[in-house]
This record gives sequence, C-alpha cells and structure tokens, in this order.
Amino acid sequence: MQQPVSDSMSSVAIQLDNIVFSYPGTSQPVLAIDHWHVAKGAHVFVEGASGSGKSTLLNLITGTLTPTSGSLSLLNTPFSELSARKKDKFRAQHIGVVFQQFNLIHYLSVAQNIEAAAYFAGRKQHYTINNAAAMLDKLQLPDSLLHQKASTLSVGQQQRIAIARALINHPQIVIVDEPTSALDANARDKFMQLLLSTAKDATLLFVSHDTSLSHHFSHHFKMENLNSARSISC
Amino acid sequence: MLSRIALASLRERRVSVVLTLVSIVISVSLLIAVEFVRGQVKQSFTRTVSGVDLIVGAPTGQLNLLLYSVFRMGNATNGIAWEEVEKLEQNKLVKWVIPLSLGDAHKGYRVLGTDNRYFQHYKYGDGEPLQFSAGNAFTHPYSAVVGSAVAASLNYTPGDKIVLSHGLGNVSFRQHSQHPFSISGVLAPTGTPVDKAVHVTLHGIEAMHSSAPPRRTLRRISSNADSLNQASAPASTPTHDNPDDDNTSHRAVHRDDAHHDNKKTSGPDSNQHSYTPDKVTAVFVGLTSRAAALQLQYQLNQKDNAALLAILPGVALSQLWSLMSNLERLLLAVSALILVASLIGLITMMLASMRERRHEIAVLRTMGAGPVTILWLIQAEALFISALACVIAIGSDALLFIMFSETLSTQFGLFISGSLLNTQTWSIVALVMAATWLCSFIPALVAYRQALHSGLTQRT
Repeated sequence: MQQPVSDSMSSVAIQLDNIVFSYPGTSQPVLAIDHWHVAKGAHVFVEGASGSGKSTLLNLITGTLTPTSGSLSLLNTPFSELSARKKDKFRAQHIGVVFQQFNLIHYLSVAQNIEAAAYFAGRKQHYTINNAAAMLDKLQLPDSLLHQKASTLSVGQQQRIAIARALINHPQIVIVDEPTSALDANARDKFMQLLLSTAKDATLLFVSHDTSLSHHFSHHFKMENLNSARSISC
Repeated sequence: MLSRIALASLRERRVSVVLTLVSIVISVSLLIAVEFVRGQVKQSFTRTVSGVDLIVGAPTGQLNLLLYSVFRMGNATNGIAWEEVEKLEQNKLVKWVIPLSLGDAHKGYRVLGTDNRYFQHYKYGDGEPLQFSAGNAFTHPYSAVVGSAVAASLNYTPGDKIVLSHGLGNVSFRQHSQHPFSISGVLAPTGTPVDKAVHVTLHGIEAMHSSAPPRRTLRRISSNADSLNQASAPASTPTHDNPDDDNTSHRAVHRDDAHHDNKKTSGPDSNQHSYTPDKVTAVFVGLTSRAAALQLQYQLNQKDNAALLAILPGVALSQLWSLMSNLERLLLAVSALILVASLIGLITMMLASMRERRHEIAVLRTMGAGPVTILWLIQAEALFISALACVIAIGSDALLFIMFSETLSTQFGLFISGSLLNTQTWSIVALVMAATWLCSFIPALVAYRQALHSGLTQRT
C-alpha cells in the first residue's frame, strides 16, 4: 500500500513534516509523524484502534489542534503557521468533515444545516435551495427532507445529509471520521458508494477501525505505522 | 444565519429559557415600574404647587411650613397676624395673596379656609389652574368647595350640606353642626392634596368659631360673591341662633388653633357682621416678578417687629424630596438585586447547557465557525433573552399602568402621565442589555475555550 513519493509538490494535498503533538500537561507525544504526504485526489483509508491517535491526526489536519512541533501544509498552504481565524476560514472553504455521529445540529432543519456550512465558509452564493435539493438527489434523498428537523431523521439519513453539508462548498479535502459505525452492513455499503461517488474529485481521508472498508480506497495506512514510519507518502 | 441558529437553539431549550425569561421579565418590569412610579411621584410631588412665588407663615422649619400649607400635613404651631397679611398685600412687589386657615376637618378630610382668590391664582402642574367639574367657587359665606377625591368618596354634589368638625381626626366630638356649609362647587381632579381638601370661606370659618352674639342674622350675599374675593371686605354674618352655643367653651377647644384666636367682629350693625380673622395659618404669595422672590423673602425673614417665615416653594420641595431619596435608593437597590439574581439565573442556565452543547459546538467548528463566532453565538442567545424580557416587561408594565391608572389616582393620588418609553426606561433597558452582555461572557468564554481546545472529534 505504501508508495514512494512520486508526485510533485504542487499536487500535494496534505503534507506533514516532523510533526509531534503532545496534549498540554503531558510529556508523552501522542502523535509523531516524520513525513507524510497525501496527493491531491487520493482516496486514503487510515486504520487504527481506539487511542492510536486517529482523531488527533484529524484535529491537526483540520486546524483545531496545533502541532507541538513540525509543519503541516494543506494544498500548498503552510497551514500550521496560519492564525486561528485564518485556519477557521481555510477549513470552512477547503475542508469538508463528516463525523461518526452528532453530524448535524439537531435543532436546525436539513436546509439550515447545509446553509450554515456555506454561511461560515463565506460562500453563501454556493447555497440555494435548488443546490441543496440537487445534492440531496445525488445522495438519493427526497427534497421533502430539506425542511425537516435534523433530529427527526434516521441515522442513515443524517449521515448522508452530513455528506451533503460537507460537500456544499466543493471542498478539496474531505475528512471522514468513523462514519459507518452506527450503520448496518447494507446501509454501510450504500453510504460508501454515495460518499465515493460524490467526493470523487476531492482528496478523501477516511479514518476507521473497520478494515473491511479499505477495499474502497486506493491507499491504506495503519496509524501504528504512520506514527512510527518515516517518509511515508501516497 | 447566526441569529437563526441562536433562535433555534433557544427554542430547543424552551423550558429552561422560558423560566429564565420569566425571572428576567419580573425583575426588569419591577425595575422599570419602580423607576417610572418614582418619576411620577416626584412629578406629582413637585407639581403640587405652581405659580406661588412665596409661602409665608409663622416662624417654623421651612419643611414644616411647606407640609402644612401645601400638603396639609401636620399642624401649624402658630399663625400670622391678619395685619401682616394686609401689609403684605400692599407691598408693591406683591401681585396677589391667598390666605390659608387650617385646623378643622370634615370626615377625615382637611378643611382649608380661604377665599375666591385661591381658585383664581392657585396653580398646579405646569401652571394649570383649578377647574370645576361641577358648580363654581364660593358664592356666600357658608359656601364650600370640595376636592374631587372628597366628592367621589363622600358622593357630594353642589347643593349638599356639610358640617365641619373641630380638629383633624376622622372622629371628632366637637361638630360645628349649628353652622352647616353648602357645597357650591366640586373641583376637577388635580393629583395634588387639593383633591382631598374641603375648601370653605375664611368668613365662614371665622363666623363658625366667633364669639359674636347669637342674635345676628345671616344675609345671603350675591352670587358673584364679590365680597368673598377679599377676605378683609365686609360680608354677611352667620346666624348664631342656637341658645346652647357655648362660645366660651367652644373657644377653649379652639384655643390652640392658629386660625381663630382672638376673632374680632368688624363693622357691626344690627344685622350684619364681617368676621375678619386675627390670624391665618399661612399665605401664598404671587409676585409681580419672580426675580423679586429672593428680595421679598429676605425682607420678610429679617423683619424684626413681625415674626414671619417666607419660603420659596421650589427650594422647599426639593429639600423635602431629597429626604425621600433614601427610600427611593432602597427601592432601586431591591429591584437591582432582583435583576442581578435573574442574570445569575441566566448564566447558570447557559453554563448548564454547555456540557450538552459540546457536540453542537464541535459541529459548528467543523463548518468553519471560529471560537469568536461561538462566543458571539452564546452572547446573542443571552442578549436575545434579555431583549425579549425587556419588551415583555415594558408591555406588561404599560398594560398594568393603563389598567390601574384610575385606582392609582383615586386610592393613592398618583396621576399617571407621560409615556413609559421615557429616558429612564431606555436607560434601564440599556443597563440590562449591557449587564447581560457582560454576564454572558462567562458561558461564552466557556464555549470559546471548549471550541478552542476540544477539537472536532473526541480523542482516540
């Protein structure tokens, strides 16, 4: 699965160099990655058990955590050097995130959940009710769901709406964190197909402990290897 | 979008939000009501007398003179000689005088002996003259004009006969039943102590207490009552035809009263007597120029041969009001404490919701909301609750004041005028919003830190 660095720098979506992260008050680093590059458009599966540092890696990439040392570049932008406000803006504009659960703000309608993503990204023009309806159609959901409260949806529907919300701003990087753990096998396969088809042009970083999903991806990493490996890229 | 998220979030926690809202509504409405009533009481207080440049009485404290002459509270310790009133009237700086004689009551209401100049010159509020809702001013020596509250309470109309009693209590054993007064007019409401006064002629009050022989007869005077317009002018005398009228004992009862010591009957003939008082309780003085007030006040207060005290009503009213400022401050402090308690309730409610909102904040962060946006969102929710509470509080206060304005005027003599939406109310609203904004920093900073440090996903 591991491949040598072959892409030019301009085609790199995610680049980690000498990254070390320790939570405040602890001396033991939870994450130490010397070099890791993900090419633009790559669909990457990262496998790891609980406590292996998966979520820490995702939080570093989304900018909600700052590395203790090392540098992180996203889409050729020195992301780790940006101010907190710029990181928020960058994340809103270039990164889509789908969680394991609690994906949606349950008291908002589906339409408002999707619209909020466009609003915070400063791309309100990306959101129209027609765009949202088209997105739902792509995800095989009826338009009627748009005005329904998120709390009234099934888990499967919530996950698909989460994809719609993550993709409304056409992000170049999509990060997905254990999205299928609450789904049965049938729903899980359907979800994966929809995710991969709608995010086919984006760089997809998929984190899960379920190794049976790895066949959907072009690249497969184990967190344990990432943490100890040197100069791993895909 | 942010406001829609805030509103939807509040709707989601509607039970705790409504409870918090109710507590803030109660405190804000109390604060606004206390401030408004305070303003109205002050206005009502300062509008009690207007256009009177000086109040002259026997030497006493200036507040005491103000209290008994204007508010009809307490008693005069002494009176001023009628000669002094006449001298005052002849002073070139003086435009008019209104003699006042206090000391009797009618069914608990104070009786004020005066003449028709009272209805002509006495002003209240912003120089508003006294108006008659029925009848007119004194027409004969035994005329009485009752205030609106007296008429309403005792159901009096012009033509009714009333009997005065000696002293100021509700119950008196000394009734002047042999000298009934006839009501000639009822005054329109003023929101001042005038409403609760029974006005009678100086002539009548003097005749009532006179030791003149009982054979005298009363001759009714003309309806225009010219002679009543000047207290010193000759007027008809009452009939004291009751052989049991023990003038000696009657005078003994009244000995302490400033208004009828040493009466004299002037210009007597076989049928008519004019009762010129020896003393009156106080005199309202109108001057030709307001600028002369200080000059005349100085002259009167420095007079060696006649003991007089002249006060400026405005100054004395301010002094009296300042005495009440402690109570005023206490009321405001209680209301402010209630508001503080409500705001603490608001913060507690918001802090309690922070734990359950961790995931919501994480999702908002996912979508690109920065910690500052999260901080503003929490503050917007708190400000929305307070703003809504202020609107409801103002609305409910306005409704209550409309509903109970009549009760306030009849029961407490408080006339509600002006809008609730005044500078004070807006100041309170601004204060509440500013306090909310400051207080909301506590839960907002918790949310901010949560947003800053918890990350988008839980640690694995």
